[in-house]
Amino acid sequence: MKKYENYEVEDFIQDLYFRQWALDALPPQDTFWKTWQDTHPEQHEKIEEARALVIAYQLEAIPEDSSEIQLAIEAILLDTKKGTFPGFFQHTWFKVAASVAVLMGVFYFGSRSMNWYPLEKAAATNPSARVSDASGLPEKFNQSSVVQEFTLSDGSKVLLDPNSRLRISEEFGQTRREVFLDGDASFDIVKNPQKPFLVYTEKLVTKVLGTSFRVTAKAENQSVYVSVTSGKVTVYKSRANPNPALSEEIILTPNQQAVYVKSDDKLIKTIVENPRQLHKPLTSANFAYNETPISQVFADLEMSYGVRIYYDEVLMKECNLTATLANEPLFIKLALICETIQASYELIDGQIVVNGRGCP
Amino acid sequence: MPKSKSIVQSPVKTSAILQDAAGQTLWQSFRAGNSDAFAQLLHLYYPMLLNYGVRLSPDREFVKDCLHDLFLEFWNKKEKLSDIENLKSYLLLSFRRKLFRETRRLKWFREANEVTEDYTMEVQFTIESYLINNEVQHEYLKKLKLNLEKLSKRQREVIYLRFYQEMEYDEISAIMEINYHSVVNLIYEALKLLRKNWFLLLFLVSPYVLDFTTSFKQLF
Repeated sequence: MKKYENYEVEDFIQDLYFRQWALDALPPQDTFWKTWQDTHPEQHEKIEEARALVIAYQLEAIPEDSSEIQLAIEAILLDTKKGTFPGFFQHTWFKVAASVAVLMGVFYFGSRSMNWYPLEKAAATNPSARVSDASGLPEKFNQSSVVQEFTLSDGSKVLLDPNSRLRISEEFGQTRREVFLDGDASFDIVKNPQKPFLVYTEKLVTKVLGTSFRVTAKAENQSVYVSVTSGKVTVYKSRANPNPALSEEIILTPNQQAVYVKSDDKLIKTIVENPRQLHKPLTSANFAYNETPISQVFADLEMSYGVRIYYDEVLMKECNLTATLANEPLFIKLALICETIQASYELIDGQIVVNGRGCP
Repeated sequence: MPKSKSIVQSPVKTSAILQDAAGQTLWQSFRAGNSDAFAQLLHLYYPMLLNYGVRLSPDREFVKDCLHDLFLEFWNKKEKLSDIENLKSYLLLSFRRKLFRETRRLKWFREANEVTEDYTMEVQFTIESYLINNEVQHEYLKKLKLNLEKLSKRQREVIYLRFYQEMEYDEISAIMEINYHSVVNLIYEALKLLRKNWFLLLFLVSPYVLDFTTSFKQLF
């Protein structure tokens, strides 16, 4: 037993047990301090002062964003699965390099875009300039009717859709890895934090932190899509903005998609059409539920698919689910859940919002 | 100075002990290569570490990068890690070291001539926010703020680890890599300062303060 008889005000304040009592954090059956106070009237004043001080000088919490934490944890788990480890040294450099790249990318592209199309025309009239092998020649044009796979000099893989064109920067791999895409392609990029990978399309720039993703940017389409399979991708408008801080930029994580609507000049974030399952659910193997609270079910979906689900926790606290949802796609799972709990869902700004009236 | 310096585990730390016991088990199966255990460890400790980190550095993304790498390092050398007796302390210490190491490194890149162990410690007390939120414009509020700024970052860090993370003194001494007596001194100096300000506060703005303590108690 501590010698509380000899305690001064400061001693009480720093005592964890005393603090818990002062902050009413003890279980009600713990009456130690009440009793102690009654049996030590001479210490009464000190106790009251210490108590007030404990209350007044609590530390304010710093607000936390649970989806931010969720994403950060997922990013760590994803990297452990890949078995690649960039190391902080490179990581830090990459951050620096990346901010330079955004800045330079804009200027560079600004000056570059002047002669991009003319160059392409020149290439089109001169067939010898577009030999398609990986020996460093600048352009790939898939005129066949099937998807073509090829490997870039850094080992990254590209799946180029029919009737799509990929031009590779002459300086590819020197300080940055830049390609120019007209059409649709999927990329699987080798991680190299010192040399960011940038995909330029007519309207958008996609900057990659080592990852796989798909760009859909046919000139005749109304919208440009960038969707992410793994890793993290930054997308921004490619217009030469003299102030890069003003350019809109969105960061995509797996199962998210950026859509650029040409007519509105708007860049928005949504969820891909059929999200892939990224992780096993934490609490229930294979989404098998037996009268499981709906909050648990939603948490599993959020974790497994890397999406954010918003719902009224208070309203739906009585809702539970008994079902096995193993192999259905995410949106089918959601539809089944919503039917069970008399709710509906919608997609707003890349997030799932579930509306319901609660359960009896 | 405290009359008693014996380290008695306070009886109320049971929830923390339970959490640590769960952490311990998870840590063991993570070392054996269980990735689910690793994921659960992250869920258990990431928020707590982020909370500490954003107080030590204002650059949230940098803090998250450090955490990211710290956990990847754990994962990549899991076979070499040993059993940890006090996981929470171990994580706080590893993270603190990591953060300072990377800060120095970053600093070195940016401004090669200035390499110091420079960090901040961001804490705000309930009473300050209360007075600010209630728009107490009293001259004394300024003085209170000024006085509280006199707390050194080390004092603030000790207070944070003791009050917020509820660490024992020997744990704090391990985390901050200073000796036990320095920890005790830091906290008692800090508490004296807080107490002195409390007295002034009582005399000068007693209506607010009384209101504060009563309204706070009514919350329960």
